[in-house]
Amino acid sequence: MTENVRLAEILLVEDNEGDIELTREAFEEAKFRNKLHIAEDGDIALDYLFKRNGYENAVTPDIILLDLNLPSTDGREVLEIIKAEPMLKRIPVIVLTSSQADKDIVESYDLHANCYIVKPVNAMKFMGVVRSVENFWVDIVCLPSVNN
Amino acid sequence: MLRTLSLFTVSLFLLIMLMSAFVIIPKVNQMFESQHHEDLQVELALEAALFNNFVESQRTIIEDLATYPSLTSAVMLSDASNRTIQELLDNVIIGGEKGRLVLQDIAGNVLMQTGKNLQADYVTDNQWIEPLLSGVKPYHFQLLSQEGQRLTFKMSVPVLYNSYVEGLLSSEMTVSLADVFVIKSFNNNVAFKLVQDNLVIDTGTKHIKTFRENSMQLPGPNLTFIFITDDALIIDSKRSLQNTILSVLFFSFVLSFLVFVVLGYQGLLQAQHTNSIRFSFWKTYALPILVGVIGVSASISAYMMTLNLEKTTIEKALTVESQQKINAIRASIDKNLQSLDAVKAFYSASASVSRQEFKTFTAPLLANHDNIQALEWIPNISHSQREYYQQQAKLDGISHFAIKEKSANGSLIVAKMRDNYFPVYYVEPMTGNEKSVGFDLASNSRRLAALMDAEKHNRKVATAKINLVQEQGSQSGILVFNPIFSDDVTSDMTEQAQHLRGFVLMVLRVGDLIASTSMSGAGQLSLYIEDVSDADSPEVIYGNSPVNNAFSRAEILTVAGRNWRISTYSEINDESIVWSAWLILIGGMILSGIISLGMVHLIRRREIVEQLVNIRTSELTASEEEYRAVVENAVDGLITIDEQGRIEKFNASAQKMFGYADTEVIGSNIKMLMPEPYHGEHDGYLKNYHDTSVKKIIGIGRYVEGKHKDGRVFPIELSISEMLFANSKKFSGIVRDISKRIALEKEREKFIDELTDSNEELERFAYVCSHDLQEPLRMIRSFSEKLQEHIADDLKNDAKGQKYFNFVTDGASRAQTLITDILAYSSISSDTQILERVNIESLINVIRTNMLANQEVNKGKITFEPLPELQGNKTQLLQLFQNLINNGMKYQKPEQIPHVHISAEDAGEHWTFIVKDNGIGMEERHFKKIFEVFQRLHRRSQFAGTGVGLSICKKVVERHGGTIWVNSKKGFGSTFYIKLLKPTPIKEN
Repeated sequence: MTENVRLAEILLVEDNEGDIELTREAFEEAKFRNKLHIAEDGDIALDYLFKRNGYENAVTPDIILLDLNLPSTDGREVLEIIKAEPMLKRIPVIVLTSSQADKDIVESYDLHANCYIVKPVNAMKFMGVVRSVENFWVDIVCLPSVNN
Repeated sequence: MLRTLSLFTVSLFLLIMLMSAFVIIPKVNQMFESQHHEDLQVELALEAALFNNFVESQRTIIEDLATYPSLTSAVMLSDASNRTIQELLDNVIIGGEKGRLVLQDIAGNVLMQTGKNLQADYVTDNQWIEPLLSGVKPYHFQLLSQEGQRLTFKMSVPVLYNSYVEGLLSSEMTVSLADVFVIKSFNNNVAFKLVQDNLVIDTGTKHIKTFRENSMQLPGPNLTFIFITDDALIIDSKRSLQNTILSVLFFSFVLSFLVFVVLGYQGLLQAQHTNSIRFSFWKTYALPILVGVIGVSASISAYMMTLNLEKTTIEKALTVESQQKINAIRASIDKNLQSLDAVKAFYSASASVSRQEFKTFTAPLLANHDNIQALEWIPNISHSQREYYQQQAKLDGISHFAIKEKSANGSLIVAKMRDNYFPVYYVEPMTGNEKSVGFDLASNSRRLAALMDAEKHNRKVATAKINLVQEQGSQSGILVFNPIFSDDVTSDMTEQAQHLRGFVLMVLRVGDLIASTSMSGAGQLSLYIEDVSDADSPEVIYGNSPVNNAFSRAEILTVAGRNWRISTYSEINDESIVWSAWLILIGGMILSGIISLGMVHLIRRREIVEQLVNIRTSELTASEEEYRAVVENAVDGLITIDEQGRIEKFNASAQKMFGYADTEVIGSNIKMLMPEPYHGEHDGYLKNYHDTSVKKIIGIGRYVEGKHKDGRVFPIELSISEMLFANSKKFSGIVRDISKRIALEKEREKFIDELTDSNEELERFAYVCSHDLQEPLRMIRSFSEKLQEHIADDLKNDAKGQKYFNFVTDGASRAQTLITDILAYSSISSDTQILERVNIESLINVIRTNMLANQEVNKGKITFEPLPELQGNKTQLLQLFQNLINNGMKYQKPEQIPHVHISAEDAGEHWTFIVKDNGIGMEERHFKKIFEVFQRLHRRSQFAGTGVGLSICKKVVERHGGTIWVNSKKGFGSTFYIKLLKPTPIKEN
């Protein structure tokens, strides 16, 4: 649109193919031009963020959508690593998970998650949540410059 | 320890004191006493000897008289009318007065008697005569009476002719007691008694305070001689000796007591400052030095005392010897002088005495007195009579008689003419005295002085020292003049000279005189005699003056008007006598030294031991305090009781637990802390234990109940131990309030029950769920497939729709798998345990067969080594191995042929099964995670799965009491280890 509108880079860390599909569709339906990157497990997400093991050219995301239950390195570990890394800790991490457990919520916020969202069971609602997230975090929230 | 030593010292001193009091002092007394007794015996013997001498001298006087020949013949003829004899007897002077004499014939008839107041009975008392007549006794001495200080006795001797007794001559003599016993020469603490036939003569005993009589039978005089000494002095010395010993001991005792007090106090101080004390000079050496000083002082005192005692003893012995010597000399001189009196009596009785008569009369006297050089008759010759006497002498056979004098050059010449001459006219014996015949004694000043003195006072007078005319040797001589007057002597001095007939003279050589005294040669003392009549110029008569005076004692003796000083002296210090004193000194010092050194040694040892003890004590105290602190601060209550059950200790925890302060319970019976039935039964328990020694609770813990002060009963855990002492028993109980524990236990049990319930519920629920969920899932799956077929045509160009259908069927299928797996997982715990022997090899064979049949595409290899049997649930073990093998086959690199190898190792009680694959492996961080439920390492797009398989394996292994773990490296396969108990051996039945 305008030159001053920067395209947001969003990293989705999710192993459930159904959820990936729904998220992607939500993005597509919204006609956002934001770019969605998928990491199917924690290891890939970390490779992407640290630009290694084939992701050397990856773009540092503006927002990270993170599922907690991931094979191998799970979401909690990924969150902890991100928030402990000075180059990454400013990136908002939105925990998007099917777990409603208080334990997971508290633990996530303790690990400096920026917000915690429970995946709605209903597909339409799910997509709605994804759109709301995108809307809020990309359009409303003021994010730090990537170059910083 | 120190106090013990002080106590020991004090006791030692006390012991010594007691010993001294009961042993040493009496012993010393006894020694003192016996020494004293010995001394007295010596003195007694001496005095007795002196008395004998006196008797002998008196006897000599009478015997001298009895030997007179006319007397003998008168007696033989029983001639009572012999005038000459009567006159002779009348003129005999004994002891300065006329003799009282009685002459008897052998029948006892009194022939003649002189003097008045004869005391003895001569007529009727004839008993004493017989022994004299028969020659059994040479004389008879009889005490007659005592008048004040004068003694009268009778001396009777036989009158002999040719050794035959022809008659008896007796004399009654009165002498001063002082002359008899020479009391003044001794000391004032003595007295004498003479006892003969109930007659007692004594010298007066008023001055004696404490009598001690030592008696001696004198056979000669036939009487008992009693020597009385005053014991007051000896008692005083004894007392002072005792006092000295006792005061030294008492002083030592007081001193040691002070030492004891000081040291004891120090000991107390020491107890308070245990570790600060090291070897201190004074503490170590003060006592030994003190003891040493006391010992040395005591040794020196003892040395001095002994030395003194020895010296006194020696001095006393020498004094006795001196007295003996001097008395002997005195007696000898007295005896000689008496004989001169006899000669005088003879002259007095006769108007004229012929040379022959003189010879006859003096012969027995000279025989009796061999120390008389000569007896002479010195007639008073006027110048006119000189020629007559010379003629007369020639007639008597002295051919060359002439009156002579000494010339200036010392040779004898004929005397010059004088008014009167006093020549030596008769000399007996002639032999040895020839030179003196005719010598005019008046020609020599010294002789003349004595001569004139004798004439003037009508008494015996001795000359000063002269050189005898007849002297051949170097002895001093003296002459004793005894004047003879023609008529009775009156006091009118002027007339006397007119009637002086002459002198009887006794010539004495001092050397012979001394030599004749029997004791002169014996003993250690030398004699030295001076004539000190002229005090300004004493003349040596005999001996040499002493060079030094180790011992010296002198007496003045009056010899016929001249004063002789007789000195007895010893020039040598007899050092040999002092050895005992030196022995005491050296021995005492050595002993003190040894004792002191011994004490130093002991004290040092004691100090070392003491310090060790202090260290040990402080350690012990520390540990005791620690122990007390432990007891007092123990969480558990600690109660000690005695055999009767009385409480002795009750620590803080016990106080808190039971609500009583220790002061409230100590001494009370332990029962008060017990509710019924313990309260009532406790005495019985104790008694039973005492009687049978069967322990019911001692040594074992037990749960019982305690009673709080407020009456509350609470559960306690009680363990009792028994403490055995030398003669008593005690019991200590550790009490723990277990109210809380019991409450907690109850709670825990409740929770366990609840948990078990909920677990069972959950498992049941899961099981039910799994079964019941299968149904709707099946519906979804089957009808979604049906729907897919039904709208297959519509979906041909609708990729998204197809994808959605795939998601549905795939989801349903996954749900089914998940449910199956959950069912399998939950069924592991819900299945009842069927324990059986499982052959693992056959199990794996089954798995292999199934797997190869089902998965032809994935041709893997399963190999195994010989495997042991296990005991367990066969289905579950099958699941275990199947899952592991499946995993090994599944997680593979695409080009690799899967290979799973199973082996087993012996691990003691366990078998370790090893399932090794050649799959993709994993990182170490996942080694735990893989065993958790629903945990996966891979995306479904990589490897399908629910994440339940290894959880099931873990649960199976744990249900069988084993463990499972993995070792792996990413890219290099994984190895699973299963450690399970070996099966119990099969029982043969």
